[in-house]
Amino acid sequence: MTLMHYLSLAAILFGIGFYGVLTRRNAIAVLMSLELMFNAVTINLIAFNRYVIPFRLEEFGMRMGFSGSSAFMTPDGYIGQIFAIFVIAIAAAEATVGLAIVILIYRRWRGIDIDRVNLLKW
Amino acid sequence: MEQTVFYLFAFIIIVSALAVVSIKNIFHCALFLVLCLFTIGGVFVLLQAEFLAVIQVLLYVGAVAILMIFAIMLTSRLAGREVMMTNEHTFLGGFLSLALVFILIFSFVNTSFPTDSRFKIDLEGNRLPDAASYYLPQSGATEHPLDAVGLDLTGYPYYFQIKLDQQGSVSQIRLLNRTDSDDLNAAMMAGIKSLKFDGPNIPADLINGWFSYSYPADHFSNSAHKIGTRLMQTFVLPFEIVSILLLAALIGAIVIARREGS
Repeated sequence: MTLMHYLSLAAILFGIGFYGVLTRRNAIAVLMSLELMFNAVTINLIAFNRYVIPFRLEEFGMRMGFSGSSAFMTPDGYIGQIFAIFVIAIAAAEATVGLAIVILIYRRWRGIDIDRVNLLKW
Repeated sequence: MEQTVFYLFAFIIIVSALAVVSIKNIFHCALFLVLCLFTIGGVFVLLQAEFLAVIQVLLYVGAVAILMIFAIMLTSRLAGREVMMTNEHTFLGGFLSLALVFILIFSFVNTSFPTDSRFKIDLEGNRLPDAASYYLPQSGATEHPLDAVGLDLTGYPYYFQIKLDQQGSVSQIRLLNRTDSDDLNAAMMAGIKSLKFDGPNIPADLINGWFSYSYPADHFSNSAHKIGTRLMQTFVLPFEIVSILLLAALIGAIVIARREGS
């Protein structure tokens, strides 16, 4: 397995999620497609973390003025996974607020058809 | 084996994702979303990110998907009128997303990532045409390891130790420290010392050819401990910011969804 396999899978998943965001009318379906896109990004991050070896951090740390044993400079290969954790946490926050907005839309319009929510449209 | 599992997972993910964006019944969509997210957790295991896989199952399958199902139950009258699920831009949306996928695949196929920090090593001393260059002091001695310097595609030097077998073909290549500060590089190279070659016929591919390296097999074991240490040391500020963001999202969701006047 190479990096390209995982990048291809993530690109296809991202495209499917993009299609869902563009074409769905149900607000919850739009949110689910957004979750697909978030997961594609997470797959990308973890695949890069697995396959890209961060030798360059040493040079980068020297340019930034870090000295020998800084934790920033030792590329033990977990930075991508940590960023993936942040992505997952922010996706959870997005889902929470998004579903609250969906429930508000449902109360206001008696339905969750996104196309009817056009107050901010000029 | 790994390839088979990957293709199985990829098939399940893509089919269930297509089901999520195309099925009429929104509740079935949510169930397919659960399947898709769960299989993505399996892909994380394939990528040796076990901690992330557990997080994925707990947070996405356990929390986000259940939240979605709750919202579906609250908002859609299941026995009510049939709602149109897609808008009139299906063809345009499909075209745009296909174009997006092709642009993405085209761009990353034509990018050289540092994963293929590949080196050309020429044991016969010929000058290599492109940016990768080399240096070999002696070729011929089999007992003493040969040293080589390879520049990767961006001109960064890597030092190698090359051992030849009796026939003069390469039997082993080790990545060595690159600069003078040995203690720094000892920390740098921890766990990355062994090289893995793509392709079964290593020596034939190696001479005048590209090779790449990868992490050793057990490098990502015990990942929860290392990620936790990292989160508490280097990434403690983003960690705290994310926790404040989660608190803000919690309060915001309550304030938004609360009925007025209560």
